[in-house]
Amino acid sequence: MVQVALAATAAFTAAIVVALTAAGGTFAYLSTSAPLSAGTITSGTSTLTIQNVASYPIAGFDATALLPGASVFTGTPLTVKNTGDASLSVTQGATSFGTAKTINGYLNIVVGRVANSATTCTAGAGNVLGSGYTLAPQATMKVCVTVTLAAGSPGTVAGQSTSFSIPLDGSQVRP
Amino acid sequence: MNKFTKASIATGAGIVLLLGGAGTLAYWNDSATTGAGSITSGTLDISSYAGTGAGWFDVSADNSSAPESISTSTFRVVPGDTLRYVEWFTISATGDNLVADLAVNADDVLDGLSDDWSVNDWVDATTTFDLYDATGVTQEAAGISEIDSSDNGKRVRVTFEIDFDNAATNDTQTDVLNLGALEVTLTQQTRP
Repeated sequence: MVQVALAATAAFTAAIVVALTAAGGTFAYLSTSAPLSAGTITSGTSTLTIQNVASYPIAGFDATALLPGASVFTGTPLTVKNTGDASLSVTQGATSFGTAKTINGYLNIVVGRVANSATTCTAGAGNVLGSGYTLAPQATMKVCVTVTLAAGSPGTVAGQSTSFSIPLDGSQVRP
Repeated sequence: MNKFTKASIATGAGIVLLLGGAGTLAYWNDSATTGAGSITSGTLDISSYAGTGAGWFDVSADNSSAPESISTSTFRVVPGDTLRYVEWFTISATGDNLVADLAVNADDVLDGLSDDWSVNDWVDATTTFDLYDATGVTQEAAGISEIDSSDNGKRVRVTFEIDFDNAATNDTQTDVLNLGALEVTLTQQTRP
């Protein structure tokens, strides 16, 4: 008889649970829904490369030719590419020097944009990027880098060597 | 017999007596059926419909060919973009006094996502509903928010537009917005 009583209690408990579940799942009034098959959206990237890498060591500067008032420059234009998904306005960032040297203050480093058909650079070739040159996604431009030692450089800079890097900054623009 | 058994027997006897009492009517009685017949409930349903012009579009202000059909598997979103998703649905609504609200759970879905766009509120979605006849060709009303039983069998074009804020930072690059939980809902309006 104890078993019967327990069973009755169990049935009663079960009934309460069912009733609560039914109430919880019920919307008052009629309602219906259907999924929107919108799927997923993926963000793009913004990436600039120079000679297909993020950081390109310029080779072939002939430092022996760098006298006051003279320039050295890249022999062939370097290719800058927007490999991202947004249009980028490319500017020349502030040059950073590897070590503090007197000569640093007398160097003028210019990144000039030349025609995409250009195959050689000359001293000071190209248009400065100025406030920015816009590269559409996947577009490329060619640049020449010219380093000039100021004409009034003091003798103390003779024989000095220095290292530097020139950042090219891309900021998204919408036409 | 122990006490428990006696108590159980007594309870059973009591139930039998109660049942017997309920079934008995004294004196004359008669009955007749009313002509009320049967009453049938209405229905409310919304289901996808293969209408024209469905899918994803790039409608960014600076896209000269907007709205330009895109595939979200290859399109990559950048700050400042505006994308539009269009899908059609068929309304099934019967019930003489049935009025139901249309809604898309866009805000709930975006609030629940963990990508940088959603977390930083750099996405903003708006949804509009346009009512078309059963052929899905003739627009009957633009910018509706509710339907009633006179719209049974008609089509609704749902336009979901999502803005990607140009305040977004580089953190949002390669993020994926999963809009799989989006759904359109018809809910009967409450009644007094």
